[in-house]
Amino acid sequence: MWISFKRRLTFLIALALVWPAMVIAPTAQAALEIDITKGNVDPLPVAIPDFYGADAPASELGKDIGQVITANLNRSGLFRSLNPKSFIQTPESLQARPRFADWRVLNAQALVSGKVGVESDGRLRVVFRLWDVLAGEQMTAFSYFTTPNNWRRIAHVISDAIYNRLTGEAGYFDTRIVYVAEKGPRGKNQKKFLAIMDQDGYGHRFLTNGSYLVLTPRFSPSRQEITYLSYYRNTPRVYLYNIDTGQQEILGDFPGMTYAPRFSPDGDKVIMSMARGGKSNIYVMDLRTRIINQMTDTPAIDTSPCYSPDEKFIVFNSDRGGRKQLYVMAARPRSVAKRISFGKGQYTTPVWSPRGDLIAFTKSRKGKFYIGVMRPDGSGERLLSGSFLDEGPTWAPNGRVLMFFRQEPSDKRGNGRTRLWSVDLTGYNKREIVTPIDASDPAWSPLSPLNR
Amino acid sequence: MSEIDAIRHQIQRCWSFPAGARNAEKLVIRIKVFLNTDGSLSKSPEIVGSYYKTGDLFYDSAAESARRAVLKCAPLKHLPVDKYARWREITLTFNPREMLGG
Repeated sequence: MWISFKRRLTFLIALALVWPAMVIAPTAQAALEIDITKGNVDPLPVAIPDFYGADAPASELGKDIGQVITANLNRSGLFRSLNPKSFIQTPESLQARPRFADWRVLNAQALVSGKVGVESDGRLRVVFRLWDVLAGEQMTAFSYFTTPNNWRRIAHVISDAIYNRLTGEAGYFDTRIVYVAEKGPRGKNQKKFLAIMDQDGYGHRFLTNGSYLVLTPRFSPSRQEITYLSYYRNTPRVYLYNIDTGQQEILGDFPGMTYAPRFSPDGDKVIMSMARGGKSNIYVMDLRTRIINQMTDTPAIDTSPCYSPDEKFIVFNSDRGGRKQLYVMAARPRSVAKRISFGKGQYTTPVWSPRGDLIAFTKSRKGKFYIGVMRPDGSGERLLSGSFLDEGPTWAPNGRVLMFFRQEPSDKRGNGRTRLWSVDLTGYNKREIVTPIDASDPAWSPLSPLNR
Repeated sequence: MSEIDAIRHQIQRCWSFPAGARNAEKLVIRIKVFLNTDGSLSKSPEIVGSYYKTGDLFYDSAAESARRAVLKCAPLKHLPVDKYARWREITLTFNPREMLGG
């Protein structure tokens, strides 16, 4: 009792000493306090000179690397590269130290400097530094060794490092896109191929020959593997495809039609739909044990399941309430599903953001289709794009950018463009992704492991 | 327009902040600014608090973007010299809440 009183007394004395000081402070030499509650979202001006190379081949590569970085950062919509013709300091003299005044007059806020050299063992050595021009400080620096034909990946890795250091979030440039390439007029005879390309459209190749239909390809988060849907004797089945070896295998022998497969975030499971006797439920297969668990049990059609990044929840769409809506349930067999979408129209293809904060979806209403996002509790719905047919969102691994496909109406012969588009989470920076032929159903890879 | 409005107006135009960033509504960055009578910086702006460079890259990049806003805006204009004692030292609190639209 006495101790506690003594403590309280000490506290009161301390408070008495502090209190007058706090009252007096503002009238004395206090700093003026001002709240800054908005800024501008103009792209950040960045100077990206050619990477310096001491001889002709190195200098040529240095130029190429600078151009890939420039294209990546500009495409993100968050950065604006400055015209290299305006640069005062040369790439060579930049290696000693930037003359910040030379870059400040150009209004550059960040500056990238780099150097390329070939080691005696034939390996490429790329050094890069990122500078805060206004503060006159180095922000980050890395050096990489690789084989010369890997230079493009190094440019992507550097782009990711710049994006990460300037925004605080992971980048998405060292990634690939798998999608369904389409050939011929729409309809039964249209050929569909699995195709893959780097995020910027380079390295495009077809993975299948079009002799059988492929749909809904999805990347494994942990292996160079894709899961997709294909038809065998007119029955849809889920397959696994190894990108490195070209090997494919059927995923399990199911009594019904399986579709809409997607990997779990740990890459160890595939969640999918299985239709039997007019109803369709959600199932999970453990890829190591091949044990299958039934997650939902309704007479309705439950499909397009997707795990949350922590694997605690599943989002899917269902017509159990009459129209297609989104539902979230705990990732345990037969747990209660809670409807989260309540707007007018129908909601399909939900995809949980890799950073967990949002769910992207396709929404159809009055003959138009939209790509939108909402929080996992269903609040904060925002539509990011809309057209005759926008469908099938996929997230960049950092959860900041979405890709989807847009189909234009067909003419009498069934011809009409179908292309991939990307859009920033804010709804800005809509861009068509260039593909050699029509393209649908994109899936964004995770950030590549460096030893790919 | 008060000197507070004048400073706020100028700094907000200089602050480039990447919209759509994660948890941006929770972000609070404090920068101490020291000014000469002509509105130029008498010394480098300081990022206030012990959180800077302790491993949160998002905080670091946002803090640096706020510091760049001050550096880019200097010298600050339209400040009444007779009230210099009031604005010679300013603490700016950056929080992009008005950019996020709820």
